[in-house]
Amino acid sequence: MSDEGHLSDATPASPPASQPVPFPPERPEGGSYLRAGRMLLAVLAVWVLLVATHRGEFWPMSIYPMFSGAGKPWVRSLVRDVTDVPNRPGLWDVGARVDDLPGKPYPLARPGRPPQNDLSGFLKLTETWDDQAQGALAGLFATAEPERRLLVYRVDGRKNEQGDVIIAFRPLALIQGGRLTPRPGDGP
Amino acid sequence: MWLARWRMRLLRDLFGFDDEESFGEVAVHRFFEACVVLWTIEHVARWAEQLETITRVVRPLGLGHYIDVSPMFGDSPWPEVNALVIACLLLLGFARVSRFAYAGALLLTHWQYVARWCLGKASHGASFIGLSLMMMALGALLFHDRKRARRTAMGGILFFFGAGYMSAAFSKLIATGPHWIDGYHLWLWIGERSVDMHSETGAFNMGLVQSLATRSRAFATLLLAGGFFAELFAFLLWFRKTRPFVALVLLGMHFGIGLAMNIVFAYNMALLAMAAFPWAVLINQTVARLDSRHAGRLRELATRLG
Repeated sequence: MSDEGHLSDATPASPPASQPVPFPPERPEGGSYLRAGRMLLAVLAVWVLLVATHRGEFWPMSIYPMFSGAGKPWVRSLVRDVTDVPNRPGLWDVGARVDDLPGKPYPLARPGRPPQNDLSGFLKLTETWDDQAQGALAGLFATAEPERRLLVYRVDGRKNEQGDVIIAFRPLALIQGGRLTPRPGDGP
Repeated sequence: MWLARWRMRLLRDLFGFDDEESFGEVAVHRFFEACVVLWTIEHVARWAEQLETITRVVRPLGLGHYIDVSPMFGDSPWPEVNALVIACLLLLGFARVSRFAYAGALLLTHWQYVARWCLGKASHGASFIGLSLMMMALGALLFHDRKRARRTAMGGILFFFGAGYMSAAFSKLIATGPHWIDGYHLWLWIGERSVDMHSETGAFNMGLVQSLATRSRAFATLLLAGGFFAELFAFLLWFRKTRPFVALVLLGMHFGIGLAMNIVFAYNMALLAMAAFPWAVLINQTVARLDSRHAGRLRELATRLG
């Protein structure tokens, strides 16, 4: 570090690495080290306590579990714009390839559309598709284009015994202008 | 004795209270702080906008376990009001008007976060911003003196960046075990990300790294192993000698994740790069070459801004 850049010379330089290093409070600034060190320990303890009791997340503290469970099946979402697709029974078929799905892509990374992570998380964790859940799903599209007829898919991915990735696109509901039409028969 | 020496070395490498203060150090710390302030404001404003379409809690987070977050949903003005208050507190903290301002901003940002991310997916894109804000708050609360407050914040930031990456490695060991690095797992995740890319952009084109990884299990295993060990040894961020090298490896890991999984943690990467590389030394060397009149003015400016 250059002498030109120094702002103050209030504190003495550290002893060479070969000399014994006294621990606070004998050392200059020892009290500061002690205080900062205790702060680290305290935050670490609070961190462990909070993430242990809140399923690994207490922002900004986290155990960072992303992709920690390897090889497990996953659930994501996909939306197709089926405005120009006639209403026919085949609309609700389960697909295996995205290119075979009806309609055209409806990219979510645009203003007014629900973020992919929100939609996927919602579909993955919603177990009972009651009126409230259906309303909440439609609500995610509240600021989307009302003239578009959108087909929402739950996408399930898993690995088969040969190690191949198997993906299933299961249509859940049609959404248009804030109204939701559930999958015929069993609903979403 | 060796434990005391190791502990002292760790604390000195993190906080460096004995070191003389330099213009470069003040400039880097304040620039880092400014980025945290601006990016926090950007995030809370974006979350306020996104809260308009949320009507239901699917999985509560943080304080959302204990306090009803639904008043933040729909047409409520509270997310915007909260974002405005956070912005004011952050600016007060940055201007050194109040030592408690950053702590208040952290609490309200936590509230904005738990309301926004209640649909089942806990976002980690702003984790390092939040950690940095937390350490800035603690530094200011712990020390009246600006120099010690800044150094406490930066030392804590480096400590918890390292601890965070290590925690990610241990999560993988606990949830899956050492065979987490098996390349087959990457195939499943590339499949998952292909659906995400289709959903977000309407198309997915497999990149070179993804193509190689899906063709060769060994290559995929190598990628996962590289990422895993980079995270496991992230505690080396705590020590000055190893810090820049480990930061480089971790940034390489992030680039690898970007190429293999199309996931970019831009804010986390930027903060890591700012905190871990010796930018202060470079700035001091540059200042030393300047005309002494300008250098003096810069030092004066740093003292005032510090």
